[in-house]
Amino acid sequence: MWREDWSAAAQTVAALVHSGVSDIESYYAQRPDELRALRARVIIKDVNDRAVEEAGAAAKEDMLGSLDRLLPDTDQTFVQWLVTFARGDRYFRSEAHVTDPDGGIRETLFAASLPADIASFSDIIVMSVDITNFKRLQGQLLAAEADMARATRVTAIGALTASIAHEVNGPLAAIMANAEAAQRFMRGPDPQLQEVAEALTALVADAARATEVVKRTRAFITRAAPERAPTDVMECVRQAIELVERELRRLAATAHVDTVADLPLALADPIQLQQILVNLLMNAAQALVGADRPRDIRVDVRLRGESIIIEVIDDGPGIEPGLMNRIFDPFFTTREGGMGMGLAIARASAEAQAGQLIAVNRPEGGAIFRLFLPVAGR
Amino acid sequence: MKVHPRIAIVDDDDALRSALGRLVRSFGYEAAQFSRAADLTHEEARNIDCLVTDIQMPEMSGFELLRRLQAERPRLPIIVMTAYPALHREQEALGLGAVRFFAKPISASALEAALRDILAGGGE
Repeated sequence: MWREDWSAAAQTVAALVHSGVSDIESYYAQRPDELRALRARVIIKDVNDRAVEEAGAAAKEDMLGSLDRLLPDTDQTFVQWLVTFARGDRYFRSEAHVTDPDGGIRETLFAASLPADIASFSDIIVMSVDITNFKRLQGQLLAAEADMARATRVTAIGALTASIAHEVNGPLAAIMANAEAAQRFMRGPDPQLQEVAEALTALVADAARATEVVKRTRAFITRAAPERAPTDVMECVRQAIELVERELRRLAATAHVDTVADLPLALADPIQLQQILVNLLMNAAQALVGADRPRDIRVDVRLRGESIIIEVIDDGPGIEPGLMNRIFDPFFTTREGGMGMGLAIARASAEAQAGQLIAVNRPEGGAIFRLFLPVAGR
Repeated sequence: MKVHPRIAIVDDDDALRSALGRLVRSFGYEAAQFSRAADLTHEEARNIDCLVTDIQMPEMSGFELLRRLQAERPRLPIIVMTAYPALHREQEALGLGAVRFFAKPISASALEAALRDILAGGGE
């Protein structure tokens, strides 16, 4: 159990709400440094023995003071406290990861009853449960699932490639034999033009057969047609972030969501949309690897005309201008061990949903992946 | 007496079989084409100088044909070709008496050279 002073945070949120800020999360997504500063102003006043034990601290005194010391920079939950305050909810619950005295990370479930009046935010009782082991097991399970999915994908691509190779091999063998035969019939003092003509006719038919194979393969790949329905984009964004939260944390990156009020539904396939977002988030996090500053990824969701625009923005090194045309090509990767399919699949999937996915560099550095989706008919 | 050596081609892929037939004719040989191994009857088998066969075919496979011909015409030179070249397949083919093993798409000059060698060495 923790006694915490959240009055500075509650007052700041109240002032923002009063000045007309309706979306606290978006507000702070644009101001990550202000968010960190505010977090430093939450004070842990007291903890009970159980909390000391769970946190692995030597003494209670080690845990008192600014919440900043406890929450690592990759925390995604602090802003949710503020959102809850702004909504006037009387209860808050979150799973956060806190830094223990040895610099280790402990997964902790926090829950608190919130007061109705701002003054009482100076003394909030927060319950905590260490869920590190539970989360570790859950993480292992997710990792195993992801490995399996990756293996299945690789196997599927392998099987597809083998099947295409075999299907094209037949016509190709016939094309070669007919072409060689035609050449031989042409040679010599007495060319056999009738045979040449027949070989060329057959060759054209073989080439048409090979083209047919390619066409069929393409139809097969795109047959997994998206099931488009009016879709809550923000819901998909949040789920996507949840899916990659662990990976983001491993790469020390934090996703901040910024949106507008009254966003209409998009006409999209929610599962495919989630997959696109997962790809873009991972891509952004990987672009930030090596950055010696807070690795912030911003997800900006806007409405423009009849399109919903989702931007995944990072301030990494950006895309090399010479590679701009190739990053969406299948099997193109600049990352060691990368398969080069993430962005290719994301773009194909966007286009299958009548959307569009483009990439641009930011003038101030970093890249923006911009996904356009049609608004669901109103 | 035959004017030209007669080469039998057994492959269930119509386009490839007829292309190979044409190729064999362009080498100056006579080509007899069969879409099924069973169509190469005992009678037909007596009239050929060399056999070029695929392995994977419905009903009777190339390997079964090899076994049959090993009994009927043990000295008939046989060339095996496959779209699935693997060492164990090559070993099995050679073990069943095949004289050459080719992966599809088969190289025209390699086939031409193989036929020339085989036919120069004499058949049965």
